[in-house]
Amino acid sequence: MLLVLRLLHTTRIYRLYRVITLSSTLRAFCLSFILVIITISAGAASVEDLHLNSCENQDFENTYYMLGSDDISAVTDFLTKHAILAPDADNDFKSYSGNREISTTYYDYDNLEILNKGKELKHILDKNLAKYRKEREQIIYSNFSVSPKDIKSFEVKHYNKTHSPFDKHPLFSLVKRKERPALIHLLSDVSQNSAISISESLKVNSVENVNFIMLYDNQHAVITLSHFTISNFGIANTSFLLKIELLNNKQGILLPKEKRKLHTFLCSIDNRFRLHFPHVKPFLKFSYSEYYNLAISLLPSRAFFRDHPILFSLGQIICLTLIGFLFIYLILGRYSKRANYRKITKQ
Amino acid sequence: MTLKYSKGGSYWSVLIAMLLLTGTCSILFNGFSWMMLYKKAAAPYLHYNLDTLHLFTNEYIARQYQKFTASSLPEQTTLPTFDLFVDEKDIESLERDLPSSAKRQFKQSHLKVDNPPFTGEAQFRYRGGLALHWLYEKKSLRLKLPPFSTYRNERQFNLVNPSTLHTITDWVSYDIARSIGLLTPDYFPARVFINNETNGLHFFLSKLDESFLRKNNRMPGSIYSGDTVFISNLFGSSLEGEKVFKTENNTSALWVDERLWQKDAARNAESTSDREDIKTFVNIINESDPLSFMRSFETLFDKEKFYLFWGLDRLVGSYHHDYFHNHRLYFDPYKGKFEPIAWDIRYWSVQVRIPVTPLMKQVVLNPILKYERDQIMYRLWQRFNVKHITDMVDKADSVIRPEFAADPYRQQPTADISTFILDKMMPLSMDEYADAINDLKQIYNIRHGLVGQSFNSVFANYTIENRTSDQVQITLNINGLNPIDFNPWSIIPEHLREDVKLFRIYEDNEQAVLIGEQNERLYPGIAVDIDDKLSRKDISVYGKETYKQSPLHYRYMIKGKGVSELISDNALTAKNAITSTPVVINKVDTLADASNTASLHPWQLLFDKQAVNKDIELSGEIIVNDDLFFSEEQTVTILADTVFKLSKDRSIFFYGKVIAEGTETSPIKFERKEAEHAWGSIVIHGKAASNSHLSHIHVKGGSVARRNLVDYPGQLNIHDVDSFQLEHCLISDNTVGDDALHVAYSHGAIRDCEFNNTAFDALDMDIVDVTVSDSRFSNIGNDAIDLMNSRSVISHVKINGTGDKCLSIGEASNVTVEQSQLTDCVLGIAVKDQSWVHVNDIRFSVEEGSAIALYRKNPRYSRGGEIEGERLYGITERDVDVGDYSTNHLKQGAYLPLTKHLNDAGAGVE
Repeated sequence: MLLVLRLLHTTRIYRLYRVITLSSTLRAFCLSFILVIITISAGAASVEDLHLNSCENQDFENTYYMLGSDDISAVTDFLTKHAILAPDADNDFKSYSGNREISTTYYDYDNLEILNKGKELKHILDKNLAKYRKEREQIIYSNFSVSPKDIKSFEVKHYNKTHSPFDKHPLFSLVKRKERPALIHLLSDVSQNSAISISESLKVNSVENVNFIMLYDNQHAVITLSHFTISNFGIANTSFLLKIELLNNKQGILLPKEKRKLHTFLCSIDNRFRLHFPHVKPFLKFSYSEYYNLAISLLPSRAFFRDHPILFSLGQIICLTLIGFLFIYLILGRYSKRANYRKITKQ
Repeated sequence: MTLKYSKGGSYWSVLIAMLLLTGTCSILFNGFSWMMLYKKAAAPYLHYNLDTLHLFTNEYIARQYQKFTASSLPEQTTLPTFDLFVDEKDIESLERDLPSSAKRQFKQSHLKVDNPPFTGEAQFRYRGGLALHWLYEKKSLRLKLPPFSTYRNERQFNLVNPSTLHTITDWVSYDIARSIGLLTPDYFPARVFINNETNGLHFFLSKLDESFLRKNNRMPGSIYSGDTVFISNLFGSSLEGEKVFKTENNTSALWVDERLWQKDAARNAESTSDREDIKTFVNIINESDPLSFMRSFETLFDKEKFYLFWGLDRLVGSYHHDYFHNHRLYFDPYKGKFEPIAWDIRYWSVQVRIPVTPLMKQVVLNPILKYERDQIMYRLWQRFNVKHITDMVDKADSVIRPEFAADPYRQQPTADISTFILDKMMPLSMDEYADAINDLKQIYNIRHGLVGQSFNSVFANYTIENRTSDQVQITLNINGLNPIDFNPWSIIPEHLREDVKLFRIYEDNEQAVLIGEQNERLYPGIAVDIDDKLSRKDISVYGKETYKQSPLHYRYMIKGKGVSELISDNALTAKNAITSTPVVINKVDTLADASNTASLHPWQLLFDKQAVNKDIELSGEIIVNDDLFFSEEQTVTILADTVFKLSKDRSIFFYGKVIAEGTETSPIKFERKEAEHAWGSIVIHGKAASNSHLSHIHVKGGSVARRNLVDYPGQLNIHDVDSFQLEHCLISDNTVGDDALHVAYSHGAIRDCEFNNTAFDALDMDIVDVTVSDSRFSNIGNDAIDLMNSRSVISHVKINGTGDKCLSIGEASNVTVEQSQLTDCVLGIAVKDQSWVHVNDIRFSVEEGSAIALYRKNPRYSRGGEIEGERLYGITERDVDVGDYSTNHLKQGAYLPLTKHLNDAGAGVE
C-alpha cells in the first residue's frame, strides 16, 4: 500500500487527491476508493495471468474477429502492445511489421459449386510488391473440407500470346501453362462443368497492417488487422477483421520448443484479446464462404446480380443515363433561368 | 570563321568559359547522381556532405578517364568471348530497383560464345552479394540456358566481375584446388560483350548444382551453402539484403542450426526437402564427446578432402571461409560422405590467424585428427613451393594483363573503411595492378615461410620421479605444433630392457609396452581461450575463441628390481613426426602446466580401444537375426557351402575386404530365413573393401538397406570399391528395391553370372569402370543392364526377356558391347544423353523398330546418344530410331540377317 501511495505521490492524481481530501473523512473515503480500484485492477491482472497460463501446452487454432469501427483504435493499441514476439533464449523468432494492400479475387462456377463444397479458389495480388517478385501474385486452391493444410498454390505467369481459350480466361490465363492441367484436375472433383466456365465470384480489397512472426527467412505466423472492402456486384462495403493465423506450410521445420513457444504466444494474444474485447465474436475460419455470406448480408441483391450480370450492367447504364439526364436538366434549367432573367431585364 | 563581338574582340573566351562551366556542372551532376544511387542501393548509412560528394565526383572523373585511356583489345586471344544480346528495356528493368530488381528476375537474351562454339537463347540476371557485382557498369551475370541446352555441360553458370585487387587470386586458387582433387567449379577468364559493347574482363564460374556434380563424375546429391541468408522485404522491395543470424554469444548460428544451410541441389526431386544429411552434419559438429565425434568424422566425412580444403586456406592465408559464410558442402549419396567444395578461396594474406570453425575446432582438439590434417598440409606445402606458385601467378598474369589493360571498368576495393562499411570499388590503374601482382607473390613468399616454420615447432622435455627403488616414473611433456615419434624403450639402457617392464600410465590405468614395440606418436595439445577484446566484426569472422599451443603429458612407469638406480637422466631423442627431423628431449625438474589443455588425450583412445579380430572366417549355416557389420580393418573370409539365412530386413555390411569363394557344388548362399519375408541387403562398401572376390555365390530373396545416410537400392551392393571380382554368381528373386545388383563408384569385373526373376533392374551401375562378361539375364522386371556415367565393356552376354530395355546406357557413358544376344526386350539398346556405344557382333531378337534408340532424356545434357560398330544381326536400318541431336554412325553393311549370324556362329565366332 505504501508503495502504491509512493508511486501515486509523483503523479497528478496524487495532487488532485490532496486537493479534494481536505477532511480526514473525505481522505478515508478516497483512500478506500483507490484501494477498490487497485483491487479490481489486480483481480483483472490475475484473471489475465490465468488466461495466459491456460495457454501452456495448448495447440493454437487460427482465429478471426470481425470488428466494429468503434473498436479499431483500441485494437490497434492492443496489437502494438501485445503482438510483438521478441527473441529470447528459447527462440529466435522475430516480428516484422508493415502495411500492405491486397486484392483477393475468388472464382467459382455459376452455381457456386466451389463455395458449396467448402473449398475456395482465389487469386491474390499484393500491390506493394514489385512485378518481378514471385510473391506478388498467387493462385491458391484450398480444400477446407479436408484440412486447413490442404492448400495447393499455382505459379502465376503472364503470357503475351494466346494459344488456347484458357489464355483468354481471367484466371487460367494467369496460371503457368504447365500447371493448368493440375488445377483443372482439382476442379473436376468439384464439378462436372467445364473448368473454363468458372468466373469471378467475389472481390475483396484490403489494406492490412501485418505482423509476421518469422524464424530466419521463413514466416510461421501472422497477425493481421485488415480493413477490407467487398467491391463487385454492388456498393462497396467496408469491414474490419483481425486475423491471428499460423502459417502451416512451414511448421514442420520448427523444433518442438519453438513450436510450443509460437503456439503459446498466439494463444496468449488470443486470450488477452478475448479478455479485452469480450463483445467481439471469434470465428475459427474466415475464408470464401464467410466473405460471401458477409457480402450477401450487406447487399442481398448481389446474388441475383451475379446470376444476371447483364441486368447489373443494364441497371448501371440506366442509372448513369438518368444521372446524365439529371445533370443536363440542371444545367439547362440554370441556362433557362438566365434566359428568363435576360428576357425580364430586356423587358 | 572568327567569332567577334562589336568592338572587334573575340567570343572564344566566353564560349570556353561556358563550356568549362557546362563540363563542371555535368561532372558535379553525375557525381551527385552516382552518390545518390550508391546510397539508395548499397549504403543507406552514407551521409550527404561535401566530403562524400567530393569522393564520388573524383570517382566519376577517374572512371571516365579510365574509359578514355583503356587500350584496345588484343586481336589475338585465348580467352572465350561471350556476346550477350539483350533488350535495353530489360537492362533498365534490372537496374530500376537495385539490388532486388537485379537479382530476383531473369531476362531473356541471346548468347553467342566462340570457344567452344555456342549460340542460343539464355536467360540472365545480375548475381552476387556485394554491390561490386551489380551496381557498377561492369556486372556479374548469372546465365541460365533452356532445357537440353548446355555450355561446357552446364545449364547455369556465372560470368563474374573480379572482386579483389589481385584479380587473379581466385583463378590460381581454384587451379590449385582442382589439382589436389577437391571438387572445384570451372573458373577461367573470359571477355564479355553486352550488345556489342565490351563489359570488360570477367571470369567464368560454374554454378554449384546437379550439372556441376555430373560434370565431375559424381552422383547427384545434396549441395548445401552455409552463407548469409537473403531476406526479402515482405512489404516492398527496399531494405532487402543478406543477413547473418547469430547465437546469443554473437557468433553465427550456422554451426548450431541446420536450417541456415540452404539446399542448392538434391539427389532427386523427391529429396529436395529432405534435410536428414545436413541435420546429421550439424549434430556431429556439436557432438560433446570427442570420441563420438571422431567416429562420426571418420565414417561420414571425407577426411582427406576436408584436410586438403583447410590446408589450402592455410597455405595461402585465406580467411574467407569464416565463421559465417562461404561454405559449400556436398553429401555423396553413394559414398555416404560429406565433402567440401572449393569456393571463394580469396584474400591471400600473411596473417597468422585463420578462422577456426566449430567443425575445425573438433579436429584441432583431437591431436590424432590434427596430425592427419597437418601431414596433408605438409605435403601441400612441399608441393606448392614459392617457385611453383610464382610461376602460376606469372602465367595467369601474362594471360590477363593485355585483356585487363583494355578493360575500361577495372576496379579495386577502396581502403576507405571509415566512410564505407563494405568494400567500395574504385578505378584500378595498370600500375596499381602490376604492383598488386608483385605484392601477391611477396605475400605467398612470406606465407610459405611462416607455414614452413610452423612444421618445426616441437618442444619436448621430461622428468624422472623415483616412486620406489623398483619403480621409476618418466613423464614426457610435448608442446609445440607437431607430434614426435618416440621409442619409449629408449628411456631404458638397451642391456637392461629384458630385466624390466615398461608401462604407459593414463589416469589410474596402466598398459604394458611390449618389447617389440617401436616408435609411438606423442602429440602436443591445444588450449582454448575466450578473447574478450575482439570487435563484433572479428567475432563474426573468427568466432570468440582463440587457440594456442598447450602441453600434453605422457607418463611411463618402469618396473624392475633396483631400477631407480639404473635409469640415467640423459637427453632422449625422437623425431618430428611431420618433418622427420630429430628432436632432443631434455630432462627438466618440473614440467609445464597442462591443466589448460583442452585437447583429447590420445591415450584415452589407446586405453578404450577394444581388441578387434582382424581376420574373420565364416562358415556353416549362419542365422542373421540382427544386422551384421564388419569394419574396415577386418578381412572376412567366407568358406564354401556357407549359408546365410537372413531374417526380415536384416542386412550384412562389409566395410573391409571380403573373400567369399564357394565352389560349383558348394556355393555360398544368402537366402531368406522365413520364406515370406525379404531380407535387406548385402553391402560391400569403401576403399578398404578393395580387391574383394566373390565367386559361386547365390543371392536370393533380398531387398534394400539404409545405413549411415546411404540408401542401398540392390539386394547386393558394391559401393566405392577399387578392383572387385564377382564370378559364377546367381542373383535372383529380389523384391522391393530398384536393383538386384547395384554397383557405384567402383572398378571391377563381373563374369559368368546369372540374373533372373528380378523385380526391376538386374544390374545397375553408376559411375563405374566394370567389365561384364559371359553372363545371362532372364525374366528381368525392368532393364537388364542400366548404366549411368560409366565406362564398361559388355561381352558374351545373353539377355532374354526384360520389362523394359536390354541395355540402357545413359548420362555420358562410354560402353562397348560385343558378341551378345538380346532377345525379347521392349527395347534392345537405348543410348541416351551424351553417351557413346560401340557395338560389335550383336544378335537381336526383338520386335520390329525396337532394336536401338538414340535420344535425349535428361535436360542437363545437350546431345543424345551416338552409336558405331558392325555386325548387327537380325535388324535393319529401320530398327534404329535416331532422335534429335543423336548420331548413328552405323554403316549400311553393319546390318546383317539373322541367318548370317548362324553361319558365323557355326564358323566359331560364338
